[in-house]
Amino acid sequence: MNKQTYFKKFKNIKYPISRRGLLISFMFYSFFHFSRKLYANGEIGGPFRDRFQSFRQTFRVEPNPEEAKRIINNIIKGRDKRNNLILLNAPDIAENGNVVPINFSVNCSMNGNDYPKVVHILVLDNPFPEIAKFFFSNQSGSADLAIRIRMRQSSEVVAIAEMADGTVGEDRFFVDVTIGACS
Amino acid sequence: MARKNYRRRLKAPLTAKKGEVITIKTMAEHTMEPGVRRDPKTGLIYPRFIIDSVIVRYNGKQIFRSRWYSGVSENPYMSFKIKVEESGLLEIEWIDDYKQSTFKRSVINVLDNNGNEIFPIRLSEPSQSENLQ
Repeated sequence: MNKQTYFKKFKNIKYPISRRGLLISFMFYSFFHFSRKLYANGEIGGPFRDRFQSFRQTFRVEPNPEEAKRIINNIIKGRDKRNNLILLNAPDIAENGNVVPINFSVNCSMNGNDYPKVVHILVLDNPFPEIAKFFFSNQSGSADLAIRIRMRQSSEVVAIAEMADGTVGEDRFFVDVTIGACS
Repeated sequence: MARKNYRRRLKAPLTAKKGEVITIKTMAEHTMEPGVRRDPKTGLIYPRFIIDSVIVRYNGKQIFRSRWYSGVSENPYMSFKIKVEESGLLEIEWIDDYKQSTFKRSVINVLDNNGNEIFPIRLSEPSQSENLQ
């Protein structure tokens, strides 16, 4: 085969992706790859990307109470805690860690700016400390709520209320668990 | 077996007074797999399968929302409160980890002090009737 005819072959080939498109897609991929590491380290984004909560867990993880403290610091962000804002109720001794009934109530009139925007519930010694977030509005008559949670070992349950004004309240309750759940 | 994870329950009062705060009890029959449990015989890990979020709407307007993670117990029960000013349709939506949504609805009749029902749309108001003519 002649040299010129050999190179003509490549000119006629039509690639499915152009060179420009390939470069742009590589740029996007590198951005996502880089940003995912930042999410994991907690440098950008909310505290709820910690420990890869958004991905499917396919391995057993040991609890890390230091990371739970970091998540709480990310929520409060150095604001002063208001006294008697939120009241958390839980049993002192829970025989079954799979079903622990808890309930909370927030002291506020639900008018104007005086309502809780978000209420977080965390268990410090669980491998995945965040349990639930509740987003209230003016139309929900009072911020009373009851739910059942899982606990692996006896630890503190924390409820944090973020009001619409920007103020923060916190309440803690220690629960003894005899048989832990596997969460 | 698959049918079991999509059964939902909702308990709400049929009638209420104007401006009353009513409690609503919900329960979803669901095996909230945390993604950590193993099969004892084969040793395989069951993948995570949980209810992600619950959205509450009254007359089409979103009034309450909650986001759940793997720490919520199986067959999750939740009771909360809402304030009603006029009768309407209450609907609750549970969304799965795989973005499959299930609904449960109920109608609440809100009564006046005289015993008359307060409708969300009032055709008897003079401003609306003038516009129609």
